[in-house]
Amino acid sequence: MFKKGLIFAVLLATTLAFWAPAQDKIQVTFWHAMSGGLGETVDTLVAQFNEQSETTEVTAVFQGNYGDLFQKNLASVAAGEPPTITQMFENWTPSYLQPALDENALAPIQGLIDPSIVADIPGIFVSANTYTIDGEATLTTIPFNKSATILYYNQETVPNPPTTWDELLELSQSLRQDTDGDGEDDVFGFYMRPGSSGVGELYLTYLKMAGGSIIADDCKSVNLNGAEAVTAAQFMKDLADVSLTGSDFEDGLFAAGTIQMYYSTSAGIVFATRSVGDNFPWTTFGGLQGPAGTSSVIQGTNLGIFQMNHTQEQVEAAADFVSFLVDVPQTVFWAQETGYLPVRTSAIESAEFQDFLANSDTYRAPTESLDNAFITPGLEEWSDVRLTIADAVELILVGGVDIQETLDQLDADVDEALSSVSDGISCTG
Amino acid sequence: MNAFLSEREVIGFWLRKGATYAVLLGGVVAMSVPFLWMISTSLKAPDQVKVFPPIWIPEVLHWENYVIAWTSAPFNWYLFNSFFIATVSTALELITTAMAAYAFAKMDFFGKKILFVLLLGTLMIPGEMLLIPNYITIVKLSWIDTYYALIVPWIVSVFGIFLLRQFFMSQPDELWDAAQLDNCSRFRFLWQILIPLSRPGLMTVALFKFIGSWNAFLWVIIMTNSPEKRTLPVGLRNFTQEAGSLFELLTAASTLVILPILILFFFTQKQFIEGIARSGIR
Repeated sequence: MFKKGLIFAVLLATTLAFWAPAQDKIQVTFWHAMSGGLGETVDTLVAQFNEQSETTEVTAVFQGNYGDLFQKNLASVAAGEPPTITQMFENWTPSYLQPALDENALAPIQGLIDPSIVADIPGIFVSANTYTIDGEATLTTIPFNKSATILYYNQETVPNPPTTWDELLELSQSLRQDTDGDGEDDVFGFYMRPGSSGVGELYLTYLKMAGGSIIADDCKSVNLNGAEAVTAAQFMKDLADVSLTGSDFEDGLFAAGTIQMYYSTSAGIVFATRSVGDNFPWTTFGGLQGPAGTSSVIQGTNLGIFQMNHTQEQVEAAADFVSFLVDVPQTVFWAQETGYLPVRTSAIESAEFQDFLANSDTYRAPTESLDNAFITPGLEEWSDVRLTIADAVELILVGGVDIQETLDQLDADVDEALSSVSDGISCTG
Repeated sequence: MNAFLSEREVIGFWLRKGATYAVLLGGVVAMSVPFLWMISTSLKAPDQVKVFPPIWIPEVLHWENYVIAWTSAPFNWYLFNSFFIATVSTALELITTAMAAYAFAKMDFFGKKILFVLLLGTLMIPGEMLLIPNYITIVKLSWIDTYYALIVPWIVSVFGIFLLRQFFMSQPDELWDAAQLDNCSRFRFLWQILIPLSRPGLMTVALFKFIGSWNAFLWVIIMTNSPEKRTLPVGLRNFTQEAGSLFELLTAASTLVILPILILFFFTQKQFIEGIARSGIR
């Protein structure tokens, strides 16, 4: 009897050992706003990670555009059930930290990822992702899909890109044509979207080129009505007067030959490539000089890890995935597929990426723009401020208003909006 | 024209008629052009989308845009979910709305007018403002990423109650008096007498609801995480980014998405228009 029992026990133990399911992987959810081809690239990277990781399973979830994602992030934090990782702009991050919340919902990246990775991230990204936590400047998020603002131009009609504001104005005027003889120009040199929310960032880029600064060191006031600000606004107005203005995305008009040049984010390279096809040669340029030099606004989001409602294991697993995403092969792959910037210095300098640039000229300008680039302030208030700036710029471009008066009002409005910024905050821009 | 009208009156008659038709024709063109542009764009190559003047009929029709668009996301799931959610929530809303509208139209109870005004007052609260509180409620119910979250909160409509109440009020009270003589209960009176008489109103409420549910985007994307629970409007987001849009694919997918609604409207338009007219809504 004892013998039978022993055999049964051994058999049972052996069977259970074989039948026992593999230890469950740690589950990490990654909310993003990357649709279409960008989403497919995210899925490819996630699949690569899941295949190589024995401990972590990442699920990437598309959550609509940036606005939808922000709404859902806010709601999920309010409900106490945020994802493990999410994309966030610099000005979203404070919404997930004290004093906006009773406790920090985010786990700072600093301390979670290898310091050698942090040391390899370009300084502009490190400062933009650093926030004051418990009185200490702390790297809180990590750059992910970062793009630079660059000039796109048709190489058939613009053999050499304009290098100064005057050249850009002259070229924009001279390229206008009435091809069908109806008395109305139907081909334009330059194109602007005065009604887009991004027109504010474009204005800040020109402001920087004019030698202006955006925000005071204490983050409580801006300088949007000084001499440089007026120069930048006047230039934009002059440019708008000789350009086509509208609300359509640029790449379609560019492909149709209606416009020959436009300023936009490098994330649009994939769209322009697709739209233009083999119709004509085109490329990008990042060295337009204003009175004080060149500049480019860096846009796009960073990655943050939520500790709220997550175990330390999940937070660390999320950090592993984030480290994987910004590892050199992955960030180079991401840049090649999407037009976003590699977020590691060693990735930009890598032979693989340099070889890629040698064969893909259009991707060179964004990387070269990085040296003179800036990022708008990572303040919670900036979400509204950027729209206020965009509204004022739209008025200047197409509303026929007095530039100085409009900028004075803008400066006062933004100062008022920033009056609630806490003491001791530092911000970029 | 008959012989009693002068020549001037005849000319005036035809001028008025001509002007009416011209205005109507203008309306038809204004309403049709966006649809025609959408269908035309859906058949273009990427570099033809923004050519000006627009190419209305492309030389090469890119029918493959429809296949590419449909297969670029799990649109079969989205289609099923859109139908399922819109149908179930419409059916349930008709039931709750009819009962509430009947109470407000034909029954007397304490605080009826104040309650109705309060109910109408909720129409003035923007939905976006309630999004986060509603999300928290759905999380507490553990309904995130379920059909419950997409259906249950939407089975009551204040607008529907208002519209049907107007409809029920136009029915004579004598019907209820007569029904009482036959020992008819209020419930039976509602379902067997009042509702059959109010079919145009119900069709209007149903059509509004179905279209609203079919087009719902923000609620669906906020309350769901898996593609298996999402609907067609969420699928359309796949073709737009901050830096550009895949217009020919977006319009191809939009054409397919809008088709069922067009067919539904085609079959119900007579009752829909009658319902709008009789409920006093303009």
